[in-house]
Amino acid sequence: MHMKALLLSSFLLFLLLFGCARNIAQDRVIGSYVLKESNAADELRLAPNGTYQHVSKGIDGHESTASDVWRFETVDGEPTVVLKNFKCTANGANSPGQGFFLMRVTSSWGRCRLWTDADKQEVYFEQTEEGLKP
Amino acid sequence: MRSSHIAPRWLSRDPLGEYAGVNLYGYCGDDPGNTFDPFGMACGGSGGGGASWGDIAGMFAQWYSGTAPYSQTFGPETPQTHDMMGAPGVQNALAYFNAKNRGRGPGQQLSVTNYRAGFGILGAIAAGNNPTQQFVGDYRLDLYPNKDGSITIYATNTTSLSSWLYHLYPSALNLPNGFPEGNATQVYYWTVPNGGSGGGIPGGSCH
Repeated sequence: MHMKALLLSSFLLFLLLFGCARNIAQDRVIGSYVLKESNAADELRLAPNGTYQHVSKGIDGHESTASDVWRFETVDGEPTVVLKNFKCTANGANSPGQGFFLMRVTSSWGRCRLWTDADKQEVYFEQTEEGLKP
Repeated sequence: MRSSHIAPRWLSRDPLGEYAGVNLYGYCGDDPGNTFDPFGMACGGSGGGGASWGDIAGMFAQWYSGTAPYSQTFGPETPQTHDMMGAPGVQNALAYFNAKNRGRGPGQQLSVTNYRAGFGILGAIAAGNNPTQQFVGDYRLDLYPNKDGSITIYATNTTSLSSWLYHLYPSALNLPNGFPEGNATQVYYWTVPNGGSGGGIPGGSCH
């Protein structure tokens, strides 16, 4: 019984130490992301030149594209992507399409995640060349 | 800054200024027996301007039983919003808003949305006896500038099993609204004057 508890705590400690990383460099977040949302297709591309492109497709099939600038910042000690004039389609997020929209960045098993709402698990997953890797 | 529990008043001037009330040396509505305010930024306890533990127990019971509304909105005059004005993260968010809008006058300022106000263990300690802050935990802040230079702040929280357990429980297993312990959202909003007055929190103190 004690061995079982020890193994379980070691596994949890391993996950805590290596599963998620907070020290994320600016270059690391450059790439393509897909919103984990069942009702709409939503892709965000962060380019190295400081611009982003946002392509979203609603359930009615209407596709829209927007672009502006993004920055990597440390906000309250947390790595954060700040998008200017971004309109997020996630249910939990409140983005009017103007101003500064913030998304905390985490890294899990080598893949970045941009959080629109942690409580509702609404997150942009980094895409790889092979496709989406949640 | 220190407070005196012998005389129910602050020994130094309220850092929040006149906006929090005309009595700059007041302490928890002169009712220190039922309320307390260790940091001068909020007022918790069973009385004063904030919500009571009974109010919050009712909200918790609604969430626990699955009878909580999908979304509840609390205006600036409600005790719950009064509690949230001094919540951890609000002052940082106002400072961030001001930094982003430096050099922009009223009417030209840009909003800051989806500012994550993390709570964590230290936040729980800082929230102390403030019932609403303890209930909310992690939350999101959206700051919208008004034409007169004031800022309207929206604090949004979704109560879920995951957030209740400090995200140690997988969010993917959260239940939808209407189920016991299902997701339920609360929105608290209020307005601060003149660009947040350099990051200060108006109305966060309890007089």
